[in-house]
Amino acid sequence: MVSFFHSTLKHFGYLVEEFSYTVKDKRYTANPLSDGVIEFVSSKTIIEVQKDRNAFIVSLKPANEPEVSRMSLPWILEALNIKKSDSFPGEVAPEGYDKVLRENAELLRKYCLDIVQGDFSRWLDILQYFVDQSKRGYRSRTGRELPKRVHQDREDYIKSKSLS
Amino acid sequence: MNNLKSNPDVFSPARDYAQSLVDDLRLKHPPAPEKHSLAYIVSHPYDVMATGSDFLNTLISIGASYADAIWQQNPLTQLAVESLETLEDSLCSRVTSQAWANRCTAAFYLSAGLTATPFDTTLGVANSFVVDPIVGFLKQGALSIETYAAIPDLVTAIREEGWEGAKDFVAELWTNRLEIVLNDKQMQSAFMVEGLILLALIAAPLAGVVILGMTAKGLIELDAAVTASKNKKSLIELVTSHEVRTTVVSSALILTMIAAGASNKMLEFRAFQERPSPSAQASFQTLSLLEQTRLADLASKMKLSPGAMEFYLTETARPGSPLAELPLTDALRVSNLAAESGRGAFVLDYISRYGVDAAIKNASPEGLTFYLEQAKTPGSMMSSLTPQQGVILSELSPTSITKVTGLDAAKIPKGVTPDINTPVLSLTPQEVSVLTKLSTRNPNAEYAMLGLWKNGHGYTMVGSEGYTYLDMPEVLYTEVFRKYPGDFRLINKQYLADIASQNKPIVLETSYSVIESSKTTGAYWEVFKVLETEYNYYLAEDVGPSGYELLLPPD
Repeated sequence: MVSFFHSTLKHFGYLVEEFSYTVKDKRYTANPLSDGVIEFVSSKTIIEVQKDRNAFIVSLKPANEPEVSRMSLPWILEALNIKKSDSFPGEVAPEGYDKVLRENAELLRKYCLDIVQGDFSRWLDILQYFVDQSKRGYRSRTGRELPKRVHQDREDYIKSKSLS
Repeated sequence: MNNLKSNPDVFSPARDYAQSLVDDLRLKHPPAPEKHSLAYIVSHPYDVMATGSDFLNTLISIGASYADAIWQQNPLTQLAVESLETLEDSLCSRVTSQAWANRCTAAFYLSAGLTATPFDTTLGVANSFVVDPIVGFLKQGALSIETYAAIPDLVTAIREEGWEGAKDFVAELWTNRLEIVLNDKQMQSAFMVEGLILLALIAAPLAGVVILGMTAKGLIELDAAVTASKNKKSLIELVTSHEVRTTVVSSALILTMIAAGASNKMLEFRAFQERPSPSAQASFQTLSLLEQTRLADLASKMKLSPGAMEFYLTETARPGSPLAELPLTDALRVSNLAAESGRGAFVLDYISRYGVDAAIKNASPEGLTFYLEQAKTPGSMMSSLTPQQGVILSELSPTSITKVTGLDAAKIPKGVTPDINTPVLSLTPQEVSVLTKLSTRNPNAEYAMLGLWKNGHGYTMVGSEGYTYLDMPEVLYTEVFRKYPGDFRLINKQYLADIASQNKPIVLETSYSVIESSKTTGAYWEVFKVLETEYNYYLAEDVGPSGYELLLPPD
């Protein structure tokens, strides 16, 4: 059985070795299979690898920015027009944990190296893409408009950053 | 045969009777060429059916009368009839009371009539019990079709004369239909049977009483007619008539069936009384007759074992027994489970703590025995379940329990890797349903809760504040279902289906914006792939309880 903690360090270890990230272990218990978050922090970027039962979510955000600036890796790739949905299978059996973590780490390195190194010049476009797609997706699923309040904070953030 | 040769007029009465039947038929249904067209047949199904059934009835009646004529040539029949008439003459003439003399004559001549005309009588009885209700039912259908076909005429009436025209049209149609029903004995017979069936479904004994009352009323009226007869000739004509013979035989049949049913019930009741042990019998005797009857009836309907009755009677006699507080049906069901599983003490303790909940109602005796045996082993999976969870699991058979709890290792076909899209346990719908019930917390709460497992607050933590949420017993998840996400998803989907079927609003422990940002990882699939798309849930304009986002069922 693969430990979430060790598997994450093995595959995302390049963040520490090559880009001077530090690691914060925020798992709920010391159990190797425990859910929780392993956080990689640099002076410019925070990368979270979250485990929730059998699902994994990798997300990024600029350091010292509010939570609304956080975005998950799949959305970032989609905004950059990189189709990799096979690498995000949702829930997997414990035997699949290592593979999923390895693929997420490789995608991060291959397509998001600028962000990893603290270059967030494409970030507002990524956030805006997410907001637009979210509204469109909701409309197509439900036939209704997404209540404005849902993305209000994120839209305000984008606006304020665009102006500055 | 010799009789036929020596008396060529043997069939004369039958021939006359046949002629009268044919004349009646012609009078009722005069031949009309326009009725032979296909268009007429299609547009008048009731008329076609009425003519057809009368025609058939005439043919069969003629056949029966000829059969009776042949039957009457049998020397034994003749001897029997003559003997009855002679006996009547010698016995009834001695009776001084006119009413009783009439009854005496009626009894002998009725017997003679039945002996002489078995085919006609049988036909009459078969008609009243079987043929008439069935044909009447078919006629009801035909008349309904005709009524339905009149709708275009109603529309025309509305167009031409407005609502007044419609009112007149409906009134006329109604009068016409009522007239048909009042003149059609077969339709009346069908209505009567339908009414009795309906009554029997609501209250079977009441239907029995109605049938008995109607039969008695018919016989009383017949007795009145017999005693009121002024002379012997008219009395003989009355009691040997087709109607009286049919009424008497039908009544005799009904009374025999009722008597047989009642005596059968009585025997069952006696056997039921004698089955339990002396102490239980004593407890039974303390009940009122009404309670005894109700208990015996319910026990028979529920096919309760003698052991279950014994348990019920003994236990309810004990002061302070929780069983005595329950409605009878629940108490008997619980007793059955206790007796069949041999776990009376556990069952009684369970109902004192949790009442008669759905779990104990659905538990199978074999499942309960198996669960309790397994739970004895310290450290076993079953021992870590709460009694309520164990009883929910007991709805399954021991084989199923073994399978879903991983006591038997899953048989995964070679080359198959369990993943989210590949269930491997071959769970049956009942197994999925039981596992879902086992994993649903606070099922009766007003709101359900969704989100990540223990993210921040986590839905399993917020849900414990009084929301319905999915939380499989940890040991079962860790030992079995974590390895088989495809099988766990079946349970998760069933949970969502249950929530949606109750139109339950769903509180989101994580904000919708964060949920959306995680969507393409496959997390929150419940919202995007099931609730919004399959069950048409949507996000409320305003936030819900305690500031959480709220998904609402379709309006």
